[in-house]
Amino acid sequence: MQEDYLKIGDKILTSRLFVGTGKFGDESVIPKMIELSGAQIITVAMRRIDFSSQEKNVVSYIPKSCILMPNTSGARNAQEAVRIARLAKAAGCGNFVKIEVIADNKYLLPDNEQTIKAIDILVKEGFTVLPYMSPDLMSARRMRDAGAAAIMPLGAPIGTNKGFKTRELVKIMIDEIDLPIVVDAGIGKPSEAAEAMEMGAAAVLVNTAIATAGNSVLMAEAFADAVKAGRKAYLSGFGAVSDLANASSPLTGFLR
Amino acid sequence: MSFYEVYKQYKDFDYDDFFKNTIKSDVLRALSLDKKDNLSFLRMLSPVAQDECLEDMAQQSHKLTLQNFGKTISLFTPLYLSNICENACIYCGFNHYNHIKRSKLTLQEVEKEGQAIHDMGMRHLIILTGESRAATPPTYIADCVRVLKKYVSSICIEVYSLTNDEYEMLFDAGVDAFTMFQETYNEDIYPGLHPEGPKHDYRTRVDSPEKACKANYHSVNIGALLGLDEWRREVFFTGLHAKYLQDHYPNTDIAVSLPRIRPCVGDGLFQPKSIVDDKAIVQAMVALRCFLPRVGITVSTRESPEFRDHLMGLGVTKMSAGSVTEVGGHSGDAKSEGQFEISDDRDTSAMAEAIKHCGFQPIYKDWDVLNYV
Amino acid sequence: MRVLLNGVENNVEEDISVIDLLNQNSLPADATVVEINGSIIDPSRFADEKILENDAIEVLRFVGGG
Repeated sequence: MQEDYLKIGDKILTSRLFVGTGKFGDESVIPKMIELSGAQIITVAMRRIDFSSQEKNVVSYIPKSCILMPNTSGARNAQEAVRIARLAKAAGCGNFVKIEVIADNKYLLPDNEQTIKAIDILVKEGFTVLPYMSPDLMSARRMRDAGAAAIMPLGAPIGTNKGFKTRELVKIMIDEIDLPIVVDAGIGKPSEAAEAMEMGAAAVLVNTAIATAGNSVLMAEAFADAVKAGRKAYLSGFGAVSDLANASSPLTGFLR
Repeated sequence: MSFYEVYKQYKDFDYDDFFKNTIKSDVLRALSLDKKDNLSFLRMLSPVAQDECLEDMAQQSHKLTLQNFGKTISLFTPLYLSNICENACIYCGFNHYNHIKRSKLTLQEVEKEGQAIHDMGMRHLIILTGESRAATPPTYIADCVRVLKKYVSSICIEVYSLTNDEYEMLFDAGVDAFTMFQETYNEDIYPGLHPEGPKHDYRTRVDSPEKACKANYHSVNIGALLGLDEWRREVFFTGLHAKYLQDHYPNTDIAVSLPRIRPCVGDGLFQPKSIVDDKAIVQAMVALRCFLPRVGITVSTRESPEFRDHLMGLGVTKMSAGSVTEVGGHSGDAKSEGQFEISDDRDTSAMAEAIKHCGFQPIYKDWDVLNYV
Repeated sequence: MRVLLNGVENNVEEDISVIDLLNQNSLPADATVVEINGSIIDPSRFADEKILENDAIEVLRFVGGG
């Protein structure tokens, strides 16, 4: 479709599927997976180098044309998230960052309040900030006011592949917040990605569902198709769904 | 940012062409949307919507009203503090040039009115004045508020445009709500209808509700005086204005009114531009409800008892009772002629009975402003 | 001399620069982040920045993540 671009920060994107690079059994499939997914935004994490291991740097699997989006995984508060973001920026791969502040090891649910604080600091330092958050409209407003470039509400807790459990709250955010809403986490099937797009989400981020699929490359392609299908359906507008029954005692009969 | 920016986007819209090309299925599709956009709202205001989809719209409006407001109607009553006015609005009984008795209440009289209103059972009050900073300056209004808040729980002001500071001052004095009608959203005919006085200025008028929102008023009520211009356009702009305020001030309760021009002193000189019949009011109300499920909808005593009763369940959430549009008038003899003729002169208990008869609960007191010591 | 490297005590030569340290450990300099005593070292300074006794050095890079 022409003219259906997604603008985040100063980047113009044609793909509304973002992919992650975590949890792959064999990272060498990543280049093909990215290619078939069509994704332009790729998330990575930051860790200490293991001097004893000779693993290839994951960045070498990611085409230079893609936009790297380091996440701040490991951060349990705003301060740690800010530190990781600064470290990531120092690697010289751009200024996109996904803020992920999680102090909950059971469900990996994010801390909205600390996330807002981190956004405030990092926006002032010139980062393009995409916060991962628990879908709460007030928090989303505060994140927008703090300068976030998009908002990334979770569809379900990380890694659960439970599907789009938070759809009602995400829908409200799509309706009320004038920023791209990217559904991140929990999307387990291409049909769920399509559903998020049909609802008006700007994009979806998928990691576990692709990384742990039987055939990651094929699954990445399926997600790409689903995201495009959902987006086209949203843009076309749905036909009238009729559940209007003929009333036996009309409310407007008195006007005749 | 101001609502005026939104108004400008739709000011020169080709409404006639749009309505001409709207067909029944367009209206039904608009109605089926969970969240209606602006043009879907406009489709619900079209002639074909009135002719072929009114019952469907009413059903949805009924459902949304019950879901969001329950089976309740909030009651309020107006108190005119003064009818001294510098404006010359050509459709209004208080027009500066009309030869009517002009007066304003003394604080003692305000005290008596407050007591009478309290005895009537009313707890939500709207106080009105004409426009005159000389006769009824903001300080006078504040003095009246301080007297009245002993007798009622909520005070709404429907007065002339004030500054941000003055709105804040009145809020501190005990005002918690604001009403102002734009009269007409049509920027081009507005000056001719308000040829003299401070009300002549369109921008000041249209920006005032936003000032009240900024001053943290709990509820803000807007509307257009239907009949001054093509009514479909006025209702469209009213809805857009309400949406703008809701979106920008999420912690303010926004409500709309649908007043129709009524006969008043000085009549015969002014002819309404469009006929606003009962079907129009019903269409306007149900379209607004379907467009903005959480907006309050107020109907005043300009409307007849029979009509008002039918509107319950169709979208209305607030109604006035025990109304007088003369200065004072609650405690005894009125001090002047009224601003407009009233159609429904039922007192509080008659109104409450009617509401209960329709299966609704009359609410006299929705809430109270706490005074923190 | 003694330094702390990614939290572990290590012995390195005197007068060693950041780039030397990376080379000795067969680490490419690109997409690698070095922090000494809490301060991030700009990659353009890898050759000039000397490591001192008791420095706490963090060497990080990107890994797979979601």
